[in-house]
Amino acid sequence: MLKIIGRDTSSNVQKVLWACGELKLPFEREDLGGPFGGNDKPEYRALNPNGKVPTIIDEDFILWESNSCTRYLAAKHAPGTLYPDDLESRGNAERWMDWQLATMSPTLVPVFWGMVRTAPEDRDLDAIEASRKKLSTNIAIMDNHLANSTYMAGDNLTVGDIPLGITAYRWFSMDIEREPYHNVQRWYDLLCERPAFQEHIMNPMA
Amino acid sequence: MKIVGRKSSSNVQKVLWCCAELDIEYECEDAGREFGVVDTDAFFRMNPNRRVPVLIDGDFILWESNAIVRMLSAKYGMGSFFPENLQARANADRWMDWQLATLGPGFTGMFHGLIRDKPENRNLDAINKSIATTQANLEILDGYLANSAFIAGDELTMGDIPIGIYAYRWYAFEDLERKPLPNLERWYASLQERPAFREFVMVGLG
Repeated sequence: MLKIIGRDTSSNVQKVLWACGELKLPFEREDLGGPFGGNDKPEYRALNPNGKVPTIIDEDFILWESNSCTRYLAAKHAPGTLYPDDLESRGNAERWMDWQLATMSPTLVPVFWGMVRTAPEDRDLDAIEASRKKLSTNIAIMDNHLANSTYMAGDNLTVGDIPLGITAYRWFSMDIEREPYHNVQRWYDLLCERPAFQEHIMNPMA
Repeated sequence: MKIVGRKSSSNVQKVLWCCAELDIEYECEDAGREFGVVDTDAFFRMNPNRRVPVLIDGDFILWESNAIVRMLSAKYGMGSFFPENLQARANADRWMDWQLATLGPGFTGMFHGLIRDKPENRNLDAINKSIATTQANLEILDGYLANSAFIAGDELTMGDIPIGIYAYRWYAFEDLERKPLPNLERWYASLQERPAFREFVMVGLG
């Protein structure tokens, strides 16, 4: 059975859990990272020299990098749907995965740490607001794209929705100011109807 | 097919090197930094991030350099540059993502500090931290390359492209103290034998 190593509160682990939920793929999961520690243990570093989560083990194949794990599982179990066959659709989906990694995430992380992982009396509200504005600018880019597309890469859910869907849950769940982004809201409402999203993403943030 | 972006950009170089390896014909249009263009409304409509490269292929427009490399590799290098075997493909994908989220951000401080900042404006602490981070990241890559000629097996694939560009930049700095990384150096030597790498990547630091 597929094994996933990493705490289920990690957004990067959640990408893989949500993908497994959509694929109806059984897995076993082992807690590691955050309050569970273990990132620096030699036996974990042997699997993943970065010490981050998740790492997946599929038979004897060991893989890390959350977006690559998501792609791999989708390509293996859902070619043509979650992992589009059409190269332009796939390119579109993978573009938004890369964009979450390199552009969106650096603007979400300071807001998330400030609002979720820092006690109210210790929050640097000016720094949080500066990051929130950048985060909002990125949500606006998604909103513009979703004006012409039901999901991030067309009429159906693909791997392109997974990383940003988790970002959207955090955007809508944190106690922050939110500009109204109607297309993102419409898309997010669709995600919230999905059992796999409800089970693995719509949980208390930690 | 048109590629928009200045040839000195590491992200544009990914696409140019990929096209040369796969014998893809294209026309090139300079944009970014000294060339401007990215500030125009027309560019914003193509890429709201105002960054290069952008690929234009008929009606299809794609940005995010790694997503462009993946798409071109799948279209023109199926089974070779774009591995058909899903585990080999995941290995390639993983190191592309790792460049985007780990190696690239770690390297930015030393590159901007040593290449783009005037000597009197340099933040030496930030530069030294970035050098140490990059050295540590490249040790991870070196460990992986102990068991693999290229990133995803015995031949060059798309997985070698993003990190190959960073290898050039790391070794192109003069007077930099580097710990020896024999596997990385062996792999990098094989890249330097490739005409496409010499033409599009080994073009100086700018």
